[in-house]
Amino acid sequence: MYDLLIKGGLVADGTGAPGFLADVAITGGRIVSVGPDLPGEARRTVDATGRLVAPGFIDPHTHFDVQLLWDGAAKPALEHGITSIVPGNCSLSLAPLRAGDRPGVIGMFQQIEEMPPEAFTQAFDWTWEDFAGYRAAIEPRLAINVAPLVGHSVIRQWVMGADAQQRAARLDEITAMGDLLRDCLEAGAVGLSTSFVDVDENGRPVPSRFAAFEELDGLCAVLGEFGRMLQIVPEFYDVDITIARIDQLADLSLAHGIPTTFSPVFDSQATPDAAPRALARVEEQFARGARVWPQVQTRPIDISFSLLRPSLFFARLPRWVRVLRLPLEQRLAALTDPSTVERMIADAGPDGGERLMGALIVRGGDRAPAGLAGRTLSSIAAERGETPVRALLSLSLENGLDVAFLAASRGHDDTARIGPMLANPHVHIGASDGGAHLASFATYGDTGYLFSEFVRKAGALTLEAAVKKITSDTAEIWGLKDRGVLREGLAADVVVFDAATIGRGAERPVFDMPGDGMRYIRDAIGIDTVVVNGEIAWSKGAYTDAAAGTICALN
Amino acid sequence: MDTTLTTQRRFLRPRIDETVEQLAARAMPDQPLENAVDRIKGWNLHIFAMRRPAGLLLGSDVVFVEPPRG
Amino acid sequence: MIADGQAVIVGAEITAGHDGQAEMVVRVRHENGVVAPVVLDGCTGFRLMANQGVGDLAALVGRPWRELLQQTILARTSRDDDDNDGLGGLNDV
Repeated sequence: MYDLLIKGGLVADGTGAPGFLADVAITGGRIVSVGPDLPGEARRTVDATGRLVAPGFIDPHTHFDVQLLWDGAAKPALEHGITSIVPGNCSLSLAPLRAGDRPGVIGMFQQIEEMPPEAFTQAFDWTWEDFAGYRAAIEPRLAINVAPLVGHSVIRQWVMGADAQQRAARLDEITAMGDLLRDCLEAGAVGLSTSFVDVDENGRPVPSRFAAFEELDGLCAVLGEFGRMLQIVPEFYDVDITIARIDQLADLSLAHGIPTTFSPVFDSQATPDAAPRALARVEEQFARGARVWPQVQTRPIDISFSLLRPSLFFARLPRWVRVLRLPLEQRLAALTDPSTVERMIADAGPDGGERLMGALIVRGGDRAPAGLAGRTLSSIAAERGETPVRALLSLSLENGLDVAFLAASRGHDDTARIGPMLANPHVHIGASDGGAHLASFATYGDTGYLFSEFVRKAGALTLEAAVKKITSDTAEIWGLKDRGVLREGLAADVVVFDAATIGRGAERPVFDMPGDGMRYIRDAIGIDTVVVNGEIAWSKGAYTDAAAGTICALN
Repeated sequence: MDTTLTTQRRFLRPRIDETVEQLAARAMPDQPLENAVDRIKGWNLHIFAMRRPAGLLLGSDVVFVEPPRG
Repeated sequence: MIADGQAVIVGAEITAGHDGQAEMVVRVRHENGVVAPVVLDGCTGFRLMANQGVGDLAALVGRPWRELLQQTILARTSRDDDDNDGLGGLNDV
């Protein structure tokens, strides 16, 4: 008798092969058979008729390190069909970390994740210092699988103390870092992450950025002993620097026999040559035999702002710029001065700001009335009997300026350009940043958007190719031993979804972080069932009590 | 398999404890130092404009020593 | 009048940054004739506009890039406050 039988679905097995009608039988957390009309009984059956059955999706770029300590499902990632995640990106992990170094590293995490302080003081007990201890702390409650990176910044902090953010390392310190990295890899780390961009809460570069190339080279020699991954975040805003980083990664990949990956790569109408040039360089380096995987995200980039802080969104409106750069008290005075307001309104154009501001979306999660969240300024203005520009000003003033507006899809938004990039065999779909930027934007639902935008709407990838991109390709790139394909003997990570509707919901604020902290999320659309290591973890819109997640075994 | 790499924008990595002036002199030994430093700064706003503290040279930096090639 | 061979701004626009903030893309024709974009974060972009006394991106076009850097962006020191961009005061709002 099987533990679980998923019956009658169209199986896209993760290899990219055409889908086929089949059952998937699972016992002991493993797939035991895939085929049509499998004989035998099961303790539990999922009717997948009319649905697609695929391997669980794998998200290679997340920052769930902290959240995993109280939420083993990394919600809402799992309900989007994600069954394995890679946390610890961008040089930051929660281990190895000495007790005395916690405050500094918490500051760095807060800079990236935007979590409230309570997340670090009330939601869990710090029971570990080393990597094996962190693993032991998260493992019992995991509902999702985890392939954790170890952060270069924390390794540096452990070995060099406060000097980690001051200077280059001595040779003996590089050796000690290598030994520490080796311990982490033996304890299950999937690789090392480093950053050339990130800063701490004071704006100072994180420790990894103080490393000379010789240090990174020494650490990659240790990665080479295990064949494990180096992840970096390059200066993505400048393609010439990004290309220099691609070349560095290629040299390290070839010298030490390791895979490397960098994220993010953005496409932008303002810099249309940037992404194509970066990807062309990747092609050249693959031709040399290097493995340098660029991570391209599926979702467009939005601009968000409130009148609490100046934003370049108004850079074409000189008077607005001047007013919004005033100190808060003077800014409020200007925004309540009738003659100033009339001039600002006039600047927005004869259409009352409809063209410039009508499509702005009120985000919620702030002091704006809850009923306005998700609505356009144009519709709110019509309801209030105002023009959009006047509605923006009055709504802000009525709520202490704490009203966030969103200008949707202002970068990485040209499907006709991004579709072929995502389909490129040398492009790694990722860079979701799940678990980070909590108060800025939702980092969930990128996989749903892959199917809704690039499979269904644009036809840039077939359904099977899209599944392959976020399952077996990811498992192979990262060396995840037994995941990414629906095949006998492999781990039973399965997602059952409606290929005609899978997508992502609208961004919405929730207050589910420790200390009633706010974050933006997106709900899943079209996902029926998510199975992790043979246990149903999410079904028909609800999480179960299953906690079958594990630390991923590696090749 | 074509293993030719196209030429990209030339850069240097800072040496340990190297100053901007020393790096500029290394990059453009034939140029007057002040001019070389000005050029280095203008080609590397990621270091000299957008970093706190501005101008702090880091061991991991990519420092361009020529304008974009296009 | 811009001398031949001098880097000059030929365009400026706003784009979306990775963190959801608006950023400025300045298009510069460099000394070698190559036109390339320079992406500036919000603080640096505001500083550029403020110190040049412009409130509109279009007014940056045609300005000599290197002079502008000397006068504004590169004049910044580590003691500079991000809000100290010369735009203070209620004049002319």
